[in-house]
Amino acid sequence: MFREISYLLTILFYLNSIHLVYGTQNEDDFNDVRSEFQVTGDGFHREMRMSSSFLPSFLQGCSALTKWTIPSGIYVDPYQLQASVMNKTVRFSSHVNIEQMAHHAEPLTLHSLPSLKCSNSCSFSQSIPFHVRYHLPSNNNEYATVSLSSPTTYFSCDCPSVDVMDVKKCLWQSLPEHVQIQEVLVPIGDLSHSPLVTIATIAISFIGIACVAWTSAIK
Amino acid sequence: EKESRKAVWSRYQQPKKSWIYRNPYLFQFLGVTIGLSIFFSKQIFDIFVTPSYGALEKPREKKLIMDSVRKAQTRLKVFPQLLADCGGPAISYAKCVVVQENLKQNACLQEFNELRNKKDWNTRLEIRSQAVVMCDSGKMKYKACAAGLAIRLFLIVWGYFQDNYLKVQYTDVDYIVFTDASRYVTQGQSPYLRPTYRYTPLLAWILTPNIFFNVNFGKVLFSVVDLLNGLIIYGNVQSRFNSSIAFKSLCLWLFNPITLVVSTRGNAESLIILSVLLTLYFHQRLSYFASGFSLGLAVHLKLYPIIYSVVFYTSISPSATLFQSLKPNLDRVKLVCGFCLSLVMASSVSYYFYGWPFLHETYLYHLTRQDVRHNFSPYFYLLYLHSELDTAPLVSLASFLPQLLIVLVLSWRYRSRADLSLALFILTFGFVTFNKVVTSQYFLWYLSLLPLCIPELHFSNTKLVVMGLGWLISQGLWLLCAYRLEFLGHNVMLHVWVASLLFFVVNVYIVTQVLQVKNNRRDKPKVL
Repeated sequence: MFREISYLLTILFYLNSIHLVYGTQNEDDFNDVRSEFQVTGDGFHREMRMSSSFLPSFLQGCSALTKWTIPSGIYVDPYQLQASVMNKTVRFSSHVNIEQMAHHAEPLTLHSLPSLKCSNSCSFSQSIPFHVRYHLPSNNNEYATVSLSSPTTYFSCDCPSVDVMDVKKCLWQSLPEHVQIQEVLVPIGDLSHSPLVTIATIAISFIGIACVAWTSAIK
Repeated sequence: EKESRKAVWSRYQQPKKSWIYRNPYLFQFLGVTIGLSIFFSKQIFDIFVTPSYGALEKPREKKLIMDSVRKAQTRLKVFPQLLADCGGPAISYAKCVVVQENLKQNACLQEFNELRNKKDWNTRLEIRSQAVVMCDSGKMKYKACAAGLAIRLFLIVWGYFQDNYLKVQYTDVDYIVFTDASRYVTQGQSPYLRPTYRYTPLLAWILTPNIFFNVNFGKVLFSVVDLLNGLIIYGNVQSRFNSSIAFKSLCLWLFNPITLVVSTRGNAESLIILSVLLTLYFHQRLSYFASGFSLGLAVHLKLYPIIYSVVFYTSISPSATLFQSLKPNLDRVKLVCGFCLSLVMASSVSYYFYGWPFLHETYLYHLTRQDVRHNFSPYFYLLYLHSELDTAPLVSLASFLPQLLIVLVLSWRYRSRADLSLALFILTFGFVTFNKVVTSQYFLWYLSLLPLCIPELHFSNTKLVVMGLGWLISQGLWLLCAYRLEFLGHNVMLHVWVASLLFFVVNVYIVTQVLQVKNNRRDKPKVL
C-alpha cells in the first residue's frame, strides 16, 4: 500500500517537474513575487536599479528577460552598456541618438537578459545607467518631469541558452508584478529670461568684437 | 637641633645659582657663537641673504646679464683650442721678430701673413661657439624628448590600470570611438557605422593597428607625434630667437600637463597640430606649395585650420593695402594650388570609399551643428531658449557674425610674415572664444600654439598673473555652476550663462592685451 502511494507521489512529482520545465506554468505557480524599482543619483546622470525575487526556486536552466520602455526624455548609451558587465545581454529596439533633445527623440524599448540566481528563491537584479535629455524651456516651470515605469519581467524555460538578439524563438511568460512609477525632475530653461539673455549676449559679443577691432586699429 | 635648624636656615637664605654657574660650558659655547656671528655678520649676510635679495631685481635685466655672461663663457671655452691651433705660426712669427736686430716694416711679412691667413679668428670663434652651443642644446633637446616620451609611456600604462581597476576611466570617450571605427574598417565596413564618429576616415585607417596589435597603439602614436611637434616648435623658436629660449618652449610643450594628458588619453589633437606646424614650417622655408598641401590636410582632419588660410595667404607678400594683400602672385597661387590639391585628393579618396556619410559626418555636421547643451560659450543659453522659435535662424546668424569678424580683423592685423606664429595663436584664441560651442578640448587648439609665441609675449609678472588667474578662476566658476546643474540637478541655467559671459569677457581682455604686445623682432625671415 505504502509502496504504491510512494510510487504515485514520485510519478506526480516528476510530472509536476516536467510540467514546469516545459513551460506550461501559469501565474499561480509564482508565489511571493517581490520586485523593487528605484532611480538613484541626481542631475542629468542617473541609474535605474531593479531587482525581483520569486518562488518557485527549482527553476535552474530557465531564463529571465526584462523589457524596459525608455521614454523620450531620457536615453541609455549603448556603448556605455557595452563597456560594462551587461555587454551582449542587452538589445535596443532602435538606434539611440544621444544628442537629441527630448521633443525630437522617440521612446524605445530595451531588452535585457539578467542572470538568474536560484537558491531558496529565484532572484535577479540589474542596474542600468541612463542620462536625461535636454527638454524644451518653459515659461511656467523650472523643472520638467520624466516618468519612468518599471520594466516588465518575463520568464522562459524553453531555451536553455537564449541570445538577446533572438528572444522570439522562446516562449515567454510574464511575471505578475505591480508596475511602479518613478519620476525624474529635469532642470529646464526659463523663457522669461529670453529678452535679457538675447540682448545681453548679442550686445556683449558685439562690444567684444568692437574692443578687439579698436585695439587692433590703434597699433 | 640648633645645627640642623642652622643648616636649614642657611639653605633657605642662600640664593639660587644662575644657569651660568650651573652650565658653564654651555655659556661659553653660546658666547663664542654669538660673538663670531656678530663679528662675521656681513659675510653671512652676503653669502646666504644676498642671492634671494638679488632675485627681486627685474627679470629682464637679469636675463640680459646672464646672456652676455653665457656668450662670454662660450667664447672662452674655445679660446684654448684656437690658441693651440695658431701656436705654430705664432711661434715662427715670434722667432722671426726676435731675431731681427733692426726691425723694419714688413720684415717678417711672410710669417705674419701665415699667422693671419691660417685661422680666421672671428669667424672661427663664432662657428666654434655656435657649434658648442648647438651641440649642448642639441643634446639637451633630445634628452628632453626622451624624458617626455618616458612620462607619456608611463601615463599610458597608468591609464591601462586605471581603466581596468578604477571606476573613473582614464581613456577618453573619443579614443573608444576611434577604436570602434577602426574595427569596422578592419571588417571591411564603413567607420561611419559607429555613431558619433565625425572625423576623417584616414584616422580610422591609421588606427587599425589598435585592432591588430594592441589597443594602446594609437596613444603611443599620438605621444610620438607630440615629440615631433615639440621638435618643430624648437626649430621655429630657435630660428627666431636663440637656443635657450627654444629649449624653454620645448619644455613648455613637452611637460605641460594638458599636453601630457590629452595625448595619453587618446585624443587625436596632436595630429592636427602636427599638420598646422608643418604648414608654418614650410611657409617659413618659402615652400608655399608644401605649406598649402599641409594646410589642406589639416582642414581635412579638422575644419578649424581654415581660419589660418587668409593670414598664410597675405603674409607671403605683406603690404599695407587690401588690394595688394589679396592680389595673386606666383607664390600665392602655389599656396592655393597645394591647399586645393590635398583637400580634393583626401576628400575624393574618402568619398570614393564611403560616400555621403563621409561628407555629412566630416564636413557638413560641423558646419550645421546646433548644440544647445551647456558649454563654455555664452551663446548656449541664447540658442537653447530660441531653439524651437521662429527667431532661431536670426539668432544663429547673429552668433556667427562676431566670429567671422574677429577672424577677418585678426587676419588683417597679423598679415606680416614675422607675426605668423602669434597670428596662429591669437586667431585660434579669438575663434574659440567667439564660437557657438566651446568645450575643454578646444582650449588645446590654442594652448598648443602658445609655446611658439610665448617668447614674444612680454608681459609684466602682474599682468601675467592677472590674466592666468582670471582665465582659471572664471573657468572654475563656470565648472562649479555646471556641476550643480549637471550632477546635482539644480536649476542654475542663468548662473551658468553668467559664468560663461564672465569667461568670455576675460578671454576678450586677454586678446586685447596680446594685441598690444610690441613687435621687437626683425621682419626678415631666417631661412632654415
